[in-house]
Amino acid sequence: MPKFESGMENMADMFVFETGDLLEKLDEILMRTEQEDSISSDDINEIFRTMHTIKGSAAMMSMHNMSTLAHSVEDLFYIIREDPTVKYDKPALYELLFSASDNLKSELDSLYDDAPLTDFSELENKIHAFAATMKGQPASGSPDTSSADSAAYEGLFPDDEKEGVLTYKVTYSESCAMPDMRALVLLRALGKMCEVTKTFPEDLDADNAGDEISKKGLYIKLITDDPDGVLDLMKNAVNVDNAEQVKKPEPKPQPAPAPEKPAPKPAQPANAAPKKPAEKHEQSMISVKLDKLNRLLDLVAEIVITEGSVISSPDLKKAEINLDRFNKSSRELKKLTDELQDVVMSIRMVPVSTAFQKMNRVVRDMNQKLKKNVTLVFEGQETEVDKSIVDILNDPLMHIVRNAVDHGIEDPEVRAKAGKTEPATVTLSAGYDSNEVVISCRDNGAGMDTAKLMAKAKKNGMLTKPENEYTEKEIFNFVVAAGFSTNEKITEYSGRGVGMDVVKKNLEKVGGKLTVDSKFGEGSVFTIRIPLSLSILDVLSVDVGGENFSLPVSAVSEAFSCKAESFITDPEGNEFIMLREKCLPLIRMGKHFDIPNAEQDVTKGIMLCCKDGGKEAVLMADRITVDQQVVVKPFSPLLDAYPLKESGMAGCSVLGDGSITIILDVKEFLSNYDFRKGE
Amino acid sequence: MSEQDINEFCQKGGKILSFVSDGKYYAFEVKDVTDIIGLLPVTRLPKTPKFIKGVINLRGKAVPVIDFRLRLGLPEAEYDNRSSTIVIEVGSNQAGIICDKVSDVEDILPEQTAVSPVKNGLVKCFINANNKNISLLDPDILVRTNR
Repeated sequence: MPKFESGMENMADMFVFETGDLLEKLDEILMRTEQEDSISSDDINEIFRTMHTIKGSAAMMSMHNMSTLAHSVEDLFYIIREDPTVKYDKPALYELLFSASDNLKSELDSLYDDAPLTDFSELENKIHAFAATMKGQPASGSPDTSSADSAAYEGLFPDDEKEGVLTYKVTYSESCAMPDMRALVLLRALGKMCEVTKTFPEDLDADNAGDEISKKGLYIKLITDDPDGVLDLMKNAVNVDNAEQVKKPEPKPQPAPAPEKPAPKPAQPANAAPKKPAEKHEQSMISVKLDKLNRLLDLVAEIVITEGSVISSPDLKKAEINLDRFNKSSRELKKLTDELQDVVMSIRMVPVSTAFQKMNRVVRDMNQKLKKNVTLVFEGQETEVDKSIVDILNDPLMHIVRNAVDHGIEDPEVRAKAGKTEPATVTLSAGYDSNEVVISCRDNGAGMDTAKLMAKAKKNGMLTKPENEYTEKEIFNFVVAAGFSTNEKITEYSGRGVGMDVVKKNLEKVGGKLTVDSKFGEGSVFTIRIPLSLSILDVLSVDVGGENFSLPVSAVSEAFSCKAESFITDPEGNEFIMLREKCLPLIRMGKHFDIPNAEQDVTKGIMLCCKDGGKEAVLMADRITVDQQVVVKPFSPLLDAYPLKESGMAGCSVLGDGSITIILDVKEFLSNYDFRKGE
Repeated sequence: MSEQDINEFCQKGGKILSFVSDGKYYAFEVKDVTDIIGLLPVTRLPKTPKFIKGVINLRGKAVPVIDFRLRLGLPEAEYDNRSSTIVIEVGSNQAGIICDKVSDVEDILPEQTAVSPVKNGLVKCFINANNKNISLLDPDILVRTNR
């Protein structure tokens, strides 16, 4: 039995990989800040968020020890974050942090071992004490309750216990009338296959033995070569509710804490000596550097291009020889390279369900704690997206689903009072929309009250303009701003208002968007939109005076030829195009990019109606050449000195024929375009 | 190219690739050069200075190309069949330099060199070899400066 809850095997690899990654990054920050002897607020936030994430995902895997340890560190940084001037003993802090990080790592490494969860309470107490001193409160010794259960019997685990002695706990069902008798029968059966050294209670014939067993359970110490057989026997004995092997608990914290003792506790294989060592779990996943995969993609693209130029080489036409065999082989080659290309592309594609499935656990656990009885529904979970997108989605989804269950769905009593009969539901759906993956999380809970949100935003000093100028949409989007949380209470799941701003930040990093919509009394929808592929883009290529530019298809709403009467100029020389009822500014790409041979006659060029970033305009090009998929490459860093980005050029792309097209960033293009000057 | 590199070159000598532009000899250290190619079709980049001709497709990479004459403010000249693109590496990035013609790969001895007194100048070191005066260029300054 591994340490995490059964049924989570398929997620364990991911958990190990992600958490390992986070801990690596944490160590990096710690090393750096310790060396520089200064810690910036960004670093503090980063550590805080790292711990927040580990806390969440560990709780999902039922690794409570990791979760609480991460929580205690998070608390520590909550204090530092709230009051950066707070005084503390730096070396001691770093000692604690490194020790926490090491402990978490070793627990991760031993995740698949057959062992109970490592007890971190000693370290946690130290951290709590440290936090308390920081807050200027006397350190209150937190009681250590974790081992209270197994300590029920005095001397259960004597210090001088021989190696190879296994301890089992057998609990009898409540309906069992005479557990002491049952225990005797069981022991007799056990005696045939192993050597029982001791039992607790020691004297099964004593008068109170029966009561003691039903209260504390029966502990059996034995030496055996066949632990599984023993366990089976116990489990199958009459009236037995549960039988399990128990391990010696960790020693309790010493009264005199020695700070230089990091005490990483890997699972103790010595204790389970007669058992076969747990087989090393082979990871079924390997992580490949994205660089390598991208290089592979590039190479394949180059092979396809080169293949094309070989097969259609003009030299072949000159030679008057029979090309039948050549043609046959080249068809074969083409088939293979096509397949190669497909495979390489598909390496990166995974169904979004891997990210969705994780949420099942989140909701289940929250249901148990919050008693909200929420049903989680998936729609379109077979939607395939780039692997990097799934990675990006994990964190946001967890936060959003938690928020939906914690804040969105009402308590059952409130629901009943509101006359809602349908079951509380959170729906996760995925799908494509033009060039984007759209993931939404919809709940049928209370919805959001704009007045309440406004009041809260006001209280937190988040308003940047007069109250009555805020639209409903803007008010809802306060929810995803930093430092906004409507839940007064800080729970394991949410409440500090860090979640949503992390979500938004992470999504924006990859060009994604997060929007919120809600109807008071009916529920809320959080929608994530992420570009389908982070590198491959559908573009519309246009020719402007012999030069090639490409616009993302997603930004072009319409392409049309313009009639002379819809072209308007105002007295200041500004040019406009009437498109149905709208009057849109005209941007001549030829003029913007100083291309001398560009078409000047508006009726001969092609008009592209573009909309992005809240601005809309008509771009004029000479003609459309092709719509195609391209791999966008950023400009060489050597060109950083020039205003390429500011002028709306995002990068370039090498096309199938070897030529290069410039990719436009329509949003940047429109937002930096000065309509008055026309450039 | 750091000062240390230059001192090393002047002390130990080394291989250079010399080329001609507007009748004068210039050179890069051979270790800075990755390719010598002819003229490839160039995609012009708007909003860049004139000496940046644009980008070329060098084995699937979009590499910026600089016209050496224009970069140095020399008179512009038509390209002919001797015009070449020397691809140099700056850091981990490549850039193409279009010159009138590539001259030679030459072994340079320490006594043939003289460090330029100009600090962080385009020319790092003057070389007199085979009856030619050659200016050894700093690729980093050539590509990055002038913004």
